[in-house]
Amino acid sequence: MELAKQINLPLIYCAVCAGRGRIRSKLCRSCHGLTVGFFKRRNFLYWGYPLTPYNFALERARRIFNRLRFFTVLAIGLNFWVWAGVIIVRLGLLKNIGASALGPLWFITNLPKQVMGLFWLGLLFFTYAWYRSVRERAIAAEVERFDYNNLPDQTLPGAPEEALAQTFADAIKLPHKLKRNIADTFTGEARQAIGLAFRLAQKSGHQAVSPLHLFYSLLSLGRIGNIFVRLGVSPTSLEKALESLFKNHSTQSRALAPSILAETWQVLFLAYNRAYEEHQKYVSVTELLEAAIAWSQTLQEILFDLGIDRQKLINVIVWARVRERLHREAVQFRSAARHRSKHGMDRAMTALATPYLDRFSEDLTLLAQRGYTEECMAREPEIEEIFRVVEGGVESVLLVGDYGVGKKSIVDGIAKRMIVNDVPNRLFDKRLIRLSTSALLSGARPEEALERLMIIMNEIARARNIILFVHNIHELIGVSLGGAAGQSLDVASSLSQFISGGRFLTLATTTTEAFTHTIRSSALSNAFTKVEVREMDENQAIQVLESKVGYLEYKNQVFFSYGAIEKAVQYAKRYLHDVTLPGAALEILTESAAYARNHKGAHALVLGEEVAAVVAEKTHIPLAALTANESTKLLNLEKTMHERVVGQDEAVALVANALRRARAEIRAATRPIANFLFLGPTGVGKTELAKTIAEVYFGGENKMARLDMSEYQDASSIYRLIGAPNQPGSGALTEAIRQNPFTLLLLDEIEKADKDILNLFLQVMDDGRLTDSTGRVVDLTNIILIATSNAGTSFVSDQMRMGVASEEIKNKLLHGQLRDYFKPEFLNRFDGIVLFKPLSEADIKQVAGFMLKRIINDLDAKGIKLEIGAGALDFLASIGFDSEFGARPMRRALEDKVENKLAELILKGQLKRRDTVILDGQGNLIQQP
Amino acid sequence: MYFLVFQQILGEAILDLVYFPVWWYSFGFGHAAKNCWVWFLQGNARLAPGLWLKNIFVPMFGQYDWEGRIISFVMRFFQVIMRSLALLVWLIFCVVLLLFWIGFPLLILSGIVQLFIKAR
Repeated sequence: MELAKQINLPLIYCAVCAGRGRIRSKLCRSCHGLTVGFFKRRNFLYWGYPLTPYNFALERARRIFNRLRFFTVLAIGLNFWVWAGVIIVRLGLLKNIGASALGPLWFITNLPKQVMGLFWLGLLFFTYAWYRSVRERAIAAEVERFDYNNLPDQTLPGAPEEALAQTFADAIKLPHKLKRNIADTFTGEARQAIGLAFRLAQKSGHQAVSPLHLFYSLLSLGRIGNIFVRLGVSPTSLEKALESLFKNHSTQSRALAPSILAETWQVLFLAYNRAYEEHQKYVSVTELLEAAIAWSQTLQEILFDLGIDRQKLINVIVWARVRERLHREAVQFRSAARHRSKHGMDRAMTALATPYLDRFSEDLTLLAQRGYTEECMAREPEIEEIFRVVEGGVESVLLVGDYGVGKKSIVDGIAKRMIVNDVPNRLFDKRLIRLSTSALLSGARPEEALERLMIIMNEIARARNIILFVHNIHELIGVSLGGAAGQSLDVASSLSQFISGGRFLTLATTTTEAFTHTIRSSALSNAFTKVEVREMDENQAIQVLESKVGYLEYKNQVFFSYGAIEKAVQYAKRYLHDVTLPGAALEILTESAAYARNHKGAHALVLGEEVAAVVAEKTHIPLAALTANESTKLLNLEKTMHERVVGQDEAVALVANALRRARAEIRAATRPIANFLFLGPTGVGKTELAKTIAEVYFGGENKMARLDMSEYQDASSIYRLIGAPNQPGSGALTEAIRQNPFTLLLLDEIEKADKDILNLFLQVMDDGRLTDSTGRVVDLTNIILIATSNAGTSFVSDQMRMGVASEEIKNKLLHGQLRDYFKPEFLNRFDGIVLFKPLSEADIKQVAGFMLKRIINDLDAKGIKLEIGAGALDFLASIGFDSEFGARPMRRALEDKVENKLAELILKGQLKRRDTVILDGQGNLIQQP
Repeated sequence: MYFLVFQQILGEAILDLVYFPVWWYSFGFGHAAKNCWVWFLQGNARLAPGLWLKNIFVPMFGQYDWEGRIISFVMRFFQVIMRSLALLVWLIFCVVLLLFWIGFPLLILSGIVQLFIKAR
């Protein structure tokens, strides 16, 4: 398993000094201290920091000493000032401040010499402490600035630079500024990790420092620990797993200094390369982590076993960077927001106040300025498209997308950019005002509302600094206000007149459906340029959630693992179709946070399992990891099903296998779990098997959507299944599946349905989706579709009587009789077509036993005991068996011989609680005294 | 090795004391100058006399009648002067801060030296 792509950089090593740069404290004559490096982007990148025990000890001592020095200097400075204060108090000088006419000035100029001396000395120490803090924060050099003109990776073998220069002699000749010491770009933390790795290798008695040592040292750092916590793995458990590896390989004395493995050098240079590719200024521990994993096969295996793949790791590292970036941006935003007017005026004061508009609107820029708008993530392409339209000319912009797709969030994002002036000139120093349609229409007759709108538009045009935003603009078109006949409001033409006039810019949003049905045919369509806002893909949604979980974590006092976020997005995409991403996933995460808090307590880590539990509760789809109990149940599914279904082994095995595949998620997720066609005469158990599946797998006999296809015999009845066009509501089939997406769909007597209706199911069986009359896509990938049919029953009975094998009968049926009812492509889409065999007398006896058991249970609830006497089942089988009608005559026999008699006894009061009644071999009910 | 490390740290610590004033007038000065420049730019963004000058003939508050235009021109003219003055004051403040940077070590030094002189 390769978790990360291993890139082999063409490093050259100095063999003379073995990468130490110095020989007996003198600079190596061969490499001039360049030690290890390679040519890249016209530079020679080298490691100019000696990786020797002395240097690591020195680095560590510096770290400790610097900290000590800083606090000592600070303490001394403070001490001087405290002394100065004590002397002032002791001499009672404070009283003189009020007494003198000059006040504090007199006080300062007349302080005793020793006080002034202490003051200046204190100040000197404070200045030195400040100087130290500035110097310690400084990193010696930065990673090269990303060069967009040099995009292809030239480090790969065969790159032109590699062929140009290969030796230290070439590198030495380069001008000083083209020789880059990458060690200077490593943060203190990253260098500390390298030092820790070195000490670990030495302590373990290893000959060389490997990427494994580096990885282990990185785990002890807070930032890396957090990354693994987010991945759902405890850093301590990882450390323990690695410790066993170190113990077994000690090969040299602890006194000897380990060397640096070639792989470790690769890791250091690769980390620099990653920082360059990620446009980072410094090489931090996250880049080292990525590189260390890329260069250690053992690590990759360990992480793979823990369920961590490359994409997950990179996404969590990006998550950490996103958090840091958001924090930086928030600081910049706050500073920019301070410089903006809080009264809606532009900086040149050319704008006009808009008191009338303000009554019917809210200022989004002002809200953003005060920090009330949320972050808009992963929508850069849409925002850039809007800006292109805005820059292009006078056209206004209409954002078209489904409900919940994030149109308003994009506008919020634009408002935030307006605060930091990261917008085109047309939006620069402007106010983004959201017109409230409800405020506009409330309490007004149509003509009054129109008048209000006219005044508002004129005010906006005169104000000159307003960008109008109308959310759900379709709400303003063709709205009837319930007045007298003809008093409906259609402002489309007036609105379009203003908007297309180009006197101000308008942003508006609408849904895809409303755009097709309303806007396109109205006067507004010419006034706007359409910008489509599509539903986010999974990666974009993950990014959005990563930016929003901080609030949820704070509110619920829990932490989210990456797995939880990923699962929330995957489940939302797969199972919650009514709400689009990222809204649906955010909803799941919010509930998961509360769920984890309630079940695991505060400061718990929310894992994928909690998310699965929440989604399972919402959809009734079993998503949680398989428990041992459930696994046993699934493995014994046939046995459980045979407790209700007699015979029909082939059908039972087929269904049980499909259910096991579904639960273990070894199936195509783009079609139903399974599609079965049950053929056979009446009363052989087709429907009974479907009910059994519903009970054992879906949690109850009623957990199935049953459609009697005899009710859909004409083509027009298709509308009853999927809903009629332009009518409110959905159809019987689409609504049932929308309500319960995890269900069994039973199509009883399918041969009786119209041919066009059967065509509808072609798509269902193939793609697992169906579009209802309102345009919503219904997901049928979590159903088991079972169609039952009596087609060709007489043929089957005749063949059975003639003793033809059932497999042969099935073949004959498929290629002959069934063609009259079903098209070949319809039959071809079933995963299994099962021919149910007629029941034998022995089977019927068993069926009688099952049916009686049900009666016994019913009576038991009434406190009456029914016992089955010897020969009772034989008697029932003799009167209830009919090879042509299957088990149905048995039901009638039971009704006639048992249930009717029992009802009579109960009504007469002869059978009471605690009584026992026996069914004997002649079908008589004998009461026990 | 630990003795060598100690020796090195001690040497560096002493050198650092010598380097402190050198840094103050070289890299430290650059650091301070950069900050002062940023403050000045922030002041310019806030006062924006250039923007007012650019719009000197544009009527304020959308008053496009001739009275409005005249009043606006006069108002903007004074605004430009006042804002420019304010920016100048701000610039002087920034420069004084930078000069203070230069003079700060000398101030401390003179404070301490004066003590010794007075003490004698």
